[in-house]
Amino acid sequence: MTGFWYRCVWAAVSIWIGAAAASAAPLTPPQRLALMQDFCAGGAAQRTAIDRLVSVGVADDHDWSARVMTALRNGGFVCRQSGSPVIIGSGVALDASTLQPVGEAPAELPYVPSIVMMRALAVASAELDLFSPKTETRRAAAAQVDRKFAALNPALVERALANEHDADIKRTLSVALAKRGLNSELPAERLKAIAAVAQVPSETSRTLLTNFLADHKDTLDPASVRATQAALRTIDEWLLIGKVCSVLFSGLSYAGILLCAALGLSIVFGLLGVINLAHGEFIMIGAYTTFVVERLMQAHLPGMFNAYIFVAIPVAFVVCAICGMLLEVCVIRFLYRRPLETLLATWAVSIALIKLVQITFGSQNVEFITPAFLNGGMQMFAGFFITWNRIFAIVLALGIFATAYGLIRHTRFGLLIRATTQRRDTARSLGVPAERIDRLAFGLGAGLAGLAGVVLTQITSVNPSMGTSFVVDAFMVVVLGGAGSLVGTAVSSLALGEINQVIEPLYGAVAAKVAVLVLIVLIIQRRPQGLFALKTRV
Amino acid sequence: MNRRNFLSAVGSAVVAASTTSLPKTAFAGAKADPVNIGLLFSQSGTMANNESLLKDIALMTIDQINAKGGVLGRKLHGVVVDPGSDWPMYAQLGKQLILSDKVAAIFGCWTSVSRKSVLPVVEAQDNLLFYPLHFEGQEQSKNIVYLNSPPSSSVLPAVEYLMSEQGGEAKRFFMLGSDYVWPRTINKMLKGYLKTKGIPDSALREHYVPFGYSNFQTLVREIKAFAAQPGGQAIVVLTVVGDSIPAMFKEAINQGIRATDIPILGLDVVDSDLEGLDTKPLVGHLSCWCYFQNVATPLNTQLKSDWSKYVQTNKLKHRPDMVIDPMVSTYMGLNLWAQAAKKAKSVAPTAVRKALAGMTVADPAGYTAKMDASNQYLWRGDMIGSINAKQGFDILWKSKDIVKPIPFSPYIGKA
Repeated sequence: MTGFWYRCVWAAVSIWIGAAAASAAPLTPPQRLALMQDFCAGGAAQRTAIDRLVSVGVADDHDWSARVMTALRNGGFVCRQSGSPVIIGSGVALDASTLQPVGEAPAELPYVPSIVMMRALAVASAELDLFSPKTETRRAAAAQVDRKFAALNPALVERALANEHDADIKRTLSVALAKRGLNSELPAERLKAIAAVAQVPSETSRTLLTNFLADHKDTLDPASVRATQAALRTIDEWLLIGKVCSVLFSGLSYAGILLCAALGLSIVFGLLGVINLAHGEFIMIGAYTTFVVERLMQAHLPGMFNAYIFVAIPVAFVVCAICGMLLEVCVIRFLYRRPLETLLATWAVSIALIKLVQITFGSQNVEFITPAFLNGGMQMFAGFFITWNRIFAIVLALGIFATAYGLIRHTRFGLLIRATTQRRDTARSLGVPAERIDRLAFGLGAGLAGLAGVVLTQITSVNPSMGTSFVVDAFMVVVLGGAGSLVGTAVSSLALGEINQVIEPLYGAVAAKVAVLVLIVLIIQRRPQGLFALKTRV
Repeated sequence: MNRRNFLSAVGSAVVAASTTSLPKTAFAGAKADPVNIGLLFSQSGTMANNESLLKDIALMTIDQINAKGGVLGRKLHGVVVDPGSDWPMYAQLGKQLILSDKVAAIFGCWTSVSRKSVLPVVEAQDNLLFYPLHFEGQEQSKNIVYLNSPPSSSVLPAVEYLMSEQGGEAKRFFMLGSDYVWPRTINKMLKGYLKTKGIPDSALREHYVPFGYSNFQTLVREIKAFAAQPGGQAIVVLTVVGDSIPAMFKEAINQGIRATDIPILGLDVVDSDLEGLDTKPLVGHLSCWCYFQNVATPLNTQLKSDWSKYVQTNKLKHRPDMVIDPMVSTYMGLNLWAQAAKKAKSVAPTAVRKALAGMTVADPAGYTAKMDASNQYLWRGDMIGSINAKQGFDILWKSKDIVKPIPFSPYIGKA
């Protein structure tokens, strides 16, 4: 039965394609010109012109069609009062029908598609790309087919499927085609389509099936109704799982950012007991260091450009560590055990640093080119989408945490830091150079803040005052986690991140912030020493 | 918070005084004392990115007016202060400008909350605040000159366009804003307006985030889920401000929101917000202003080249090739003030106010803007822009002529 139906469709499609192929012989430049002038005339002719452009491209003028299509979509196509339209791109103007250079760029502004035309162009471009010689382009187009199916020309998809050799692309296309069976008269076709839709659970599939059920309420056979309802249940389950995963992931990634920002402070405030209000500015300096590294790499090592973020990690650490040690030498060391004066002094330093960066780089957001591998993300399943920049933040946060933890717990330097901070006088009398340890520990804290800056360049905007918002969050995390405990810092940032992201979708971002702050106040009332207090004798 | 910002304001005032204002103002040659003009724009904090542009174009326009001989034989002098994106500071520094610097007028503020903070000060001292942003309306004071459009001639035409066949027939609306008066009023008005268009409440979502908020992953996910639900085409009406805008766009790019699927109408989005972004995946998202820099008029070409020269000669940290609507509004506002002062033969705020009514000024967007005779709102043209791949906007639609501003929206009560 199914095979018969497919053969019927196939026969119809072959006839249609035969007709299309006959009409779409290779175009001469005047024919191309006529097509584009129809487009430039505007109105209803625009749509027909685009359809023709697609059929020409599918038949055999693929390069030219694709070129014009790209120009239309990216603001590189200029209709002119007189003469042939022009394609502009990378500085040269080309005659759109012959693709020969025409000298000076035209005075007219490029064509700007309206939203509706933009959609039409996206569909047309996906149709065209299905016939691209490049596998990657076809793969991307096939992914589009599933989303835009209602608008695509089914005969074209059938034809692309027949031409396709790549197994992955074939599967994507056949699932998309199967979905069309929903409107079929034959129950078996419908059941197959329902199964195909249920295979890719998403909010869109859910809408598709809900609409299907509502539209065909009276005419549908019981088996199809049951199948649809079962499919909807499956989709709902997947969506719920997807939602839970999404919230957990969001919480985790927020926790990653908090952890990055707070780790340095946890050493400076937690271990050394210095209330460093300039901590946020070290984050900012780390971000600007990344910016400088990015620019230098762009200028001198364009081939390695994507790796700038990894180059920035050690550089930002060292720069911030040096800044931190300078701050310690010039200011902090005179103020140990005088928290109020430290607070005021670091406050002043923080403002001075902000103004200094403002004078050097300006107050605007600085521009970062995100490395290619951090752009975009991946659809895991039903509504669960992960973005690479967040994954990067989480991984780097964990890496930094592991390193810092190892350094403090398992090295001699860490031992000395703990000894100095826990019983300073005893440590000194045993020959520990307490002043040097203070300086190094402060540098370590500042360096870790710099690493947070590197991570944040991929997530938030970078400007001189970016640090101010993070210093509050960082203090929150450290105070809640318990001063001096790295594990406490990690646990409290995880808790705050997750709580924040669980509340946010329900009551909004403002409420989430309020809830977290209230929670912290309540916890601090019960446990002033924080969740994981270090047992020390002060 | 206050103390921190106070220190920061003092610090930057010192910096500003020593680096920016002194070398540029030509005291020599002016016979009489210069006329002080207050420039109340933040150069630090979340608004710094945008407001520092307005400060600099104001200084440039003052230089231009001075080069033409100043006003009534006196040179103008821009007095720069930095309120540090802290709303109460706007009031304090506004008062200081009027009382100790004796300014003839103040040009300032970006957010509505800062304007609301200065409002009682200029009213009590009977001075003038020239406000260069499009905003929520619902306000009319004889001490504020509104240089940009209320929503009736900016937001509503854009939403109407998106609901039209050309704009993709939007049926469902996700309103996402920063939590303060401008987004809340705009959304209230929008809800009233959409109700009259027969859009049910179930097709609307409303979300607010704190100032400076940057963690948009959950909200973008909700937008995607909302758009996939049945009921027709969904759009996002974005009223977040400051640093939240690039953060929101970054997340939208990463989670794959495209204008062909879910168009975002960013009401406060200007070219400078797109500076740090790769805008290729953002192509087609929209904004509505009275001016986009692509508009081809001689005055605009002149203004753009003046600005680019000014940025380069003074080694400012701005992009020399970028001019945005609020900058143009500030520029027009200063010229308007100078014209009015000449006509009134006085720089006293009351005399200038009287002279302003009905006055016209050339708009680089290609219109002749006109000051309303009764309500101190400027009649401007209206445009819808679509983000292009070059971190700017292409003009998708523009009004034929200047539009009558309606300060008080009839839709507010209907929500």
